[in-house]
Amino acid sequence: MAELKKVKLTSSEGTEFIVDRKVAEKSVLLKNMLEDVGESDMAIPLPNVTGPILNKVIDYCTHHRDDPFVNQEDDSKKVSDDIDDWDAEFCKVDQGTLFELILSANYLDIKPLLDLTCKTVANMIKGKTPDEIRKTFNIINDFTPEEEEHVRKENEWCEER
Amino acid sequence: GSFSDMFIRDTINWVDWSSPSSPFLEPKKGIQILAPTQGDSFVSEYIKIIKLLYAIAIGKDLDDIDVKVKFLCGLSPDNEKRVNEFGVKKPLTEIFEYLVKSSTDPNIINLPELLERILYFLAVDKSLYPALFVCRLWYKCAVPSLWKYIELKGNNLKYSHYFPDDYTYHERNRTRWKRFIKIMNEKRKPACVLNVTYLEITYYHSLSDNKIKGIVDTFPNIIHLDFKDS
Repeated sequence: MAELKKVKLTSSEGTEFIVDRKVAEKSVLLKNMLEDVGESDMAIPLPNVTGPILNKVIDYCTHHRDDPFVNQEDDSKKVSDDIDDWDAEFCKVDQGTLFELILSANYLDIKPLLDLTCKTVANMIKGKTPDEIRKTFNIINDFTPEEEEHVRKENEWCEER
Repeated sequence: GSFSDMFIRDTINWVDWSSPSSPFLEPKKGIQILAPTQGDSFVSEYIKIIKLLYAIAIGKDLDDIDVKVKFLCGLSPDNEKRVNEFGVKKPLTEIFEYLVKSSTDPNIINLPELLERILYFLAVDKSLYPALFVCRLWYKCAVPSLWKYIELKGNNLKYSHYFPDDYTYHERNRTRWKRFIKIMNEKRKPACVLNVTYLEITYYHSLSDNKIKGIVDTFPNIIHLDFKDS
């Protein structure tokens, strides 16, 4: 009965977004909220999500609105190269946006979007040397030479050459 | 975020007070203008404030040393570190460019929970090893996944003669195996043994029962063990 209902969301700047309830329910956080609140015209404030990011998230949820709901903690082996064309195109954004998408997917609890964006970052890491990884993400190496040697000694058995 | 919006608004209000009737470029003498600090805002927003509000408010351009000093003083500690590595003596515009380019503003790479999620996908693809050496946090987040699921496959003699090309692959696995055993034979075993839940050591044809027992005793949290033909 509530299937065709619309839901109002407000981004951190106060911009209002109106989406189908079915689209909003891709977010477990919103789904639970909507179930708790019941019928209401009140806008749901999302102070952690900016307008442009919320727009992207809604795009994603709209495209995937009919996907079956996947089990939350599915411990089966997941691979990072099973991204379809639409999703790959969706993730062609700058690093800052990609990271904000990860934070929002995590906050809104949208597991498939979180997996997709994390896979995209994983693919950015793959094939890089530690130094290249640091450059890509602007990370400072805080290992002492001794610590680094220790890491090497304990783990070199698993080095894939 | 809302904080930085508030910050910009505050700064705007405050600039308006400082020069209510005159254009920004002619600041009134005698009014002390406080330099902003980055606080919790993104570095790109902080730069915007310096560029579009502060520098103009004090009537100086970006080449001015005063603007630069105030900018550097207000930076968050990690960005300050970055600038020091990049070179403080470089022109401010270059520093801006570097910071914006290199900034991963909401830096998820520093959040263990999300970093672990990302590294998990690398573990599945067996490309986690370089991630151990990035920094301490990455090591902490990567090492449990690396040790959780261990597969060491020896030469499957039954089939190897069909696939001579696999020879180098098996040689490589031999080396891995030897290194693994070497570490396991050390007195102080790595703390990571607690993470091992899945261990598959197959086709070694030379493992004694004692050795197998030793291996089993090493990993208290093991759930799955496979010693096929070992």
